[in-house]
Amino acid sequence: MLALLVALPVAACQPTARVQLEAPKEPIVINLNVRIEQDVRVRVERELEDLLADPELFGG
Amino acid sequence: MRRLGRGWCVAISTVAFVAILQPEPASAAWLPETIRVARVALTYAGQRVTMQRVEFAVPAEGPVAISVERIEGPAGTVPLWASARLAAAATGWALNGVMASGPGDLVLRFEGSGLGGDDPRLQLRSEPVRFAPDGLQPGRLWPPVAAYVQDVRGTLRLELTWPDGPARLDVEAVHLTSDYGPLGPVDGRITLDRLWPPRTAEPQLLRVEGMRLAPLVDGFEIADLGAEGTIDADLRFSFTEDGRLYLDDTVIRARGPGVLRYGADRPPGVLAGQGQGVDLLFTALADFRYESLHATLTGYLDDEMTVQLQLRGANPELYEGYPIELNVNLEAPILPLALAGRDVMALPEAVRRLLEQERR
Repeated sequence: MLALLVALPVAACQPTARVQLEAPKEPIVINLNVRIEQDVRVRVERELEDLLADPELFGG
Repeated sequence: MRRLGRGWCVAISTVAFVAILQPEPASAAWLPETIRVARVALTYAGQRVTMQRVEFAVPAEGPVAISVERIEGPAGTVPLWASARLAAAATGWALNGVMASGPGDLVLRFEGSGLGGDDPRLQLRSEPVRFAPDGLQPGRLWPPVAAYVQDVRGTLRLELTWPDGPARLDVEAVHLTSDYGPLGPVDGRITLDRLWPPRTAEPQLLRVEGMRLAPLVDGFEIADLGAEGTIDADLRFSFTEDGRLYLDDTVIRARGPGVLRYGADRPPGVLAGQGQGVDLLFTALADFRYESLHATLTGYLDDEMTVQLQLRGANPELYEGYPIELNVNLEAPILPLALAGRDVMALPEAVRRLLEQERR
């Protein structure tokens, strides 16, 4: 009996298990493959350089 | 003043001879035993080096002993002293000696052979050079460096053989401040088996910690792109046979949370109209608060590189901050594009300048 009395408050202090439902927090995954060519850009730059060096346009 | 060719000039202010004539052998009969020069000034490429109290001791036999009591470089450099022995040999001059600063925070030993001959070699070896904010700074060894790095602390050690190599640089717990903010510690060892063009026998590793992301990204001058946070990097690299720098699985990772912002209204031209995934990516990047950032870079620095970037975080304005994982695999000539982008952005200014010149 004494053992029961001693055990009772201990049992009363045990945390109550609670089930909580939450939406899964799996992230949105974005996968992207990008390939950038330099050729076009370099060609435009060279054309612009030629343009800037044109003596008829800019007096050389 | 006497011009020695290829930009060298030498000026000798005062020469004092202390001559003790040697009885034998006949060829040395008129050589003085000691030559003292009060001051020698050397100018190369506009930089002036002055040597004070230079002494040559010429014994009847054995190497010539040379000592310089004080070597002063351009203003602000740490004064040095030097001591060396010079001996003639069939293949050229042999030289060995030491050059050091007064307090001993820089000690450089050198040993050469065949100097002035067909196959000259000069081996340089430094004692550990310890930099400290209130002590030695790189700018006191070579003043132009001070414009790029300040508040340096840590240890460097250099060993190199001129002119072909090898060379080795040990970097230990180096912290510094540059235009990119405070940086460090930097640790590693770089070993070149050929000096020029540089070549490595195996991949090198330099660990760089504490890089601020903001000035690094700003340095690319990409419109509307900004970043916050601190990154660490394991720079694995090689110099290939032709001297090109190759990044070999260089890893960059964020030290903690940060922000990436790409503020343009639409994706950049190359990615425009590539579908909802790309649109979602750039919506997220409008204000992406990353929890983790990890990137791997492989390829030639001056050519096409492969970058695998993984970001985890969220945009608070997108799906109420729902977590997002971005995995981007990018193949592009990143550095040439960035440099070309800078040039293209500078073109309107160049055009305006040329037009103004035309009007005058």
